[in-house]
Amino acid sequence: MSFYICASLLTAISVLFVITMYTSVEAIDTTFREIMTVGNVEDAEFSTLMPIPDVEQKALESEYDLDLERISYTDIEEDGYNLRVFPVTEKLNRVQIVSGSGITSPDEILLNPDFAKAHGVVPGDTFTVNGTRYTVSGTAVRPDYIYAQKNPSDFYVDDSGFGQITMSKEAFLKFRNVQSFYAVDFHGDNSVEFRKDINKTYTTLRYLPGEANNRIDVCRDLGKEYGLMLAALLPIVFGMNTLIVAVVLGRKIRREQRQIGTLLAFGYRTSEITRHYMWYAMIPGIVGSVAGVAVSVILNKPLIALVATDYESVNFIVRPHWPSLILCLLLPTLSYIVTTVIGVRRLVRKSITVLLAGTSAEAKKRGKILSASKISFRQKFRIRSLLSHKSRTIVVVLGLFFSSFLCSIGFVFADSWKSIITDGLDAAGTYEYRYYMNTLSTEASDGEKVLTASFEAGDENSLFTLEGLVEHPEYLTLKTKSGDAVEYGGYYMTTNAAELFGIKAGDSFTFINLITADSYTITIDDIILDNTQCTVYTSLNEAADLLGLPEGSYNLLLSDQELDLDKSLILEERTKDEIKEQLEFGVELLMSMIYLIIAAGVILCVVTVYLTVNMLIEENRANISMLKVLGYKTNEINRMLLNTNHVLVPICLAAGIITCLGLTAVIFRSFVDVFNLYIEPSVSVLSICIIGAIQIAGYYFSLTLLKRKAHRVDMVESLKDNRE
Amino acid sequence: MFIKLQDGVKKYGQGDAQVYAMDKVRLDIDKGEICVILGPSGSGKSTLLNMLGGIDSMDSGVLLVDGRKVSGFSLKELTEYRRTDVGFVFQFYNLIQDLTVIENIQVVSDIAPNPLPIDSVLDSLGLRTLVHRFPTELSGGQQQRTAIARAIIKNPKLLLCDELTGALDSRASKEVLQYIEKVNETLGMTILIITHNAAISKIADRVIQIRDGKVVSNEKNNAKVRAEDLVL
Repeated sequence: MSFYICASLLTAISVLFVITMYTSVEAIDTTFREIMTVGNVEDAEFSTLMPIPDVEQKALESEYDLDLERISYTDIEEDGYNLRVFPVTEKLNRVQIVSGSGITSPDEILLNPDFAKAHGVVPGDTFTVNGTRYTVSGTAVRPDYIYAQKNPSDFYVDDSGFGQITMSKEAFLKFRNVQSFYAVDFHGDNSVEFRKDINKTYTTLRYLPGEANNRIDVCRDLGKEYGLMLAALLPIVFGMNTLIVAVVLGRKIRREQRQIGTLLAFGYRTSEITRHYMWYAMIPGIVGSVAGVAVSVILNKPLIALVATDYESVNFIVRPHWPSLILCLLLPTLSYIVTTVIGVRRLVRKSITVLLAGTSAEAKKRGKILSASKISFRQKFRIRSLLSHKSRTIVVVLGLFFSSFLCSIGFVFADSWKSIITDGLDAAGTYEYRYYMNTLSTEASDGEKVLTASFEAGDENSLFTLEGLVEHPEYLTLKTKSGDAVEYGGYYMTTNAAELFGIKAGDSFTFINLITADSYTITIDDIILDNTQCTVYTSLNEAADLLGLPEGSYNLLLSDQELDLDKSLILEERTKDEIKEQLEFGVELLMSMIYLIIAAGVILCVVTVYLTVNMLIEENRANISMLKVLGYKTNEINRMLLNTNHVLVPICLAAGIITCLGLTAVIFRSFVDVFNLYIEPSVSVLSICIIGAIQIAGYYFSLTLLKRKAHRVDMVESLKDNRE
Repeated sequence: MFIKLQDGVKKYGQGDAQVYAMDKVRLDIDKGEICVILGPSGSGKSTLLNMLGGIDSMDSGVLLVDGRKVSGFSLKELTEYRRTDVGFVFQFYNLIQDLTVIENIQVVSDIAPNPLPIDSVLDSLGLRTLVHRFPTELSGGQQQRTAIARAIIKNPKLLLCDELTGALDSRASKEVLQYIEKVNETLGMTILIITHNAAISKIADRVIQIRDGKVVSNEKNNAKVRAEDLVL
């Protein structure tokens, strides 16, 4: 009975895992694409020195076959949270209603769903914005704020700390401190010509393509990125569970050889015997698959919410993922049936007398492992038990390995992220304040001058920053990968950027000016050891020369103390502490996923060990009863028989951690584009100890459940089997 | 009396399906005797052996072994009883297949409080050259000798043999019985052999016949022969 329960449970868990992950990713991808399509999300946004009149906007739309809309917003700092207020838009970035209804009067507003939920606001409630009370007509999501970072450079989403408000144009008019930009949606492939034209006529100050806007790009590529991860991980998990059950099933069939011999002696045909034993396979296969599918239907929505925890809570379009559904309903049962058929056919090929005698082929093949060694017979028994019963050992190894792997994933993610906080930030510089100026200057100033500009490069049009530094920067210590000193005037790319663009020292690197769409090619002299910044460093004058600006131009100031600058000149101020807080918050958000993955690992460990040690006890019933007859106490029998797999625990633990580190390195490389960080996978000693403790606890829990089973083996019943 | 069993009863099943495997069995066996318990299949021989060996418990009756009331033992006391005072030899040897000859013997010598020297046991049973072989590499007779070695290594007071020649040919059977005789003579062990083969009873000091769970006779054997002279 315990075999059927465990096998069905393992099957159900792997089916549940596969279906919910694929369904979740499909639902998230489909829903976000729909929101972006219906809401007409921008392809890019830009701001100009001179405004584009409405008439000329229409002309540009006609000439370049695009949609163009000026979008305004204002940021309001309230007590405990920040709000970004938008007026209703007509053509681009149109809000999609999630609950309640749209705005029908200037007294009504829409809140983004997660902010509303965090503050306990529902449609019909009132909400105060900048001292004015409004009625919340509903919740809505902007297609460019599904991943609602306050700034595209932020590392996380703060549901309760940052909210988006949509109100009528009329209501928005009362705000004074308003910023605006132009959003554009290209219908053709002419963004370069458009950019050149805009810059020439209106002087572009800032251009941000959608591919470089994290808020948009992350959601657009979510299905692809998760899909790649799932394509790598899920077949392994699913295949692993199916293999474990199939092997255990195969051994169970082998133990039926006497019964099969008896049936053959009675004249049963092979097909009749095979059909009978197929039930061994079908019960866990069908029960497990159906149970897994049924539970996945129940758990779909909560799991989607968990997977999409960083994104706005929208009404996800949940459709069955038919390929995974069909696969999960058929594959486990089919593979178990195939195992059973192969096992039965193998047995019926033996002579009936051999089957009736119950002698095992394994026993005959047993080699002289350690027969002359001086180690104790108990040790020999354990070693031979592992080496002679290979399929059983393989199942234990796979189960423990995967359990360790799953448990490790969470900790490696968390530790790697934390190492960015402790080591990575310092590599970015010892400044405490970064002041982005809203105009270029060549005047003397407090703070260290930097000329910075964003460019796009690579096939994915990823953004990076070019920074021109003073000759002896006080706050940046640039350490090269080669160990050579930095030469002032050369071009140096950070490891983060090098990973993203696939560049090494000596390579040429071509990039495009976002504003002018001009193309540049430079040679990268060396790689700077810095995983946090996606940056190319050069001298201040070299950068100015490249950008066609006066010598000594700068637009960024670094300082270790707060500077007393004219606020009207500052575009944005960032502190190192803010960045650190964001990264720390990011780790906290990760933890819920981490606990889920660890739980899956523990369940896998317990179930696999239970299944295999149960098998061990079943196969050793005669030995157990003989040991009892010989006067062995229960704990002595347990120590001899149940401790066989102890040696595998540390081996599989180490293998699981090492494999996890390798796989996360691959995953983190794919995240460079998303997070603008290259995270080096690492795991702390403490985490290794915790992973080990979790594995050992799961392992011993399983053994404890089985100790009573060994105790219950009846001496008389087992010995009867060996009497005439 | 070394072994005294008074009105031992063991039932299986209930109502009309109830069967008496032992029906008020009484027997007395002296110390150092070779006693053969003879009976057909289903007569209750194995059940009796299980009771004497502490493997199973009676429903009622009193069993005294060397003055100790075994029938009143707790599970823990029965384990200790089997650990120190009783050796078993079974029809199909019941050796641990993953262990060699010497390792199978060490399974018992390792937990015995006063085991016999393993070398002398190996020599007395002719197992010296077979020590590193696994059971599947041994003949039936060799396996049974290994089982005997395993049983006597702890120097038990009582050696219980359940159809110990049942799986052997006549030559191997004679050989095994000779070893049993040797063990009895050199160590003074009380030996009980249950069998359905009346020919074996000739080596016994006492023959007990059992049928349908009842002892039908309990006689001293006045025409005892040596195992080497048996015709099997």
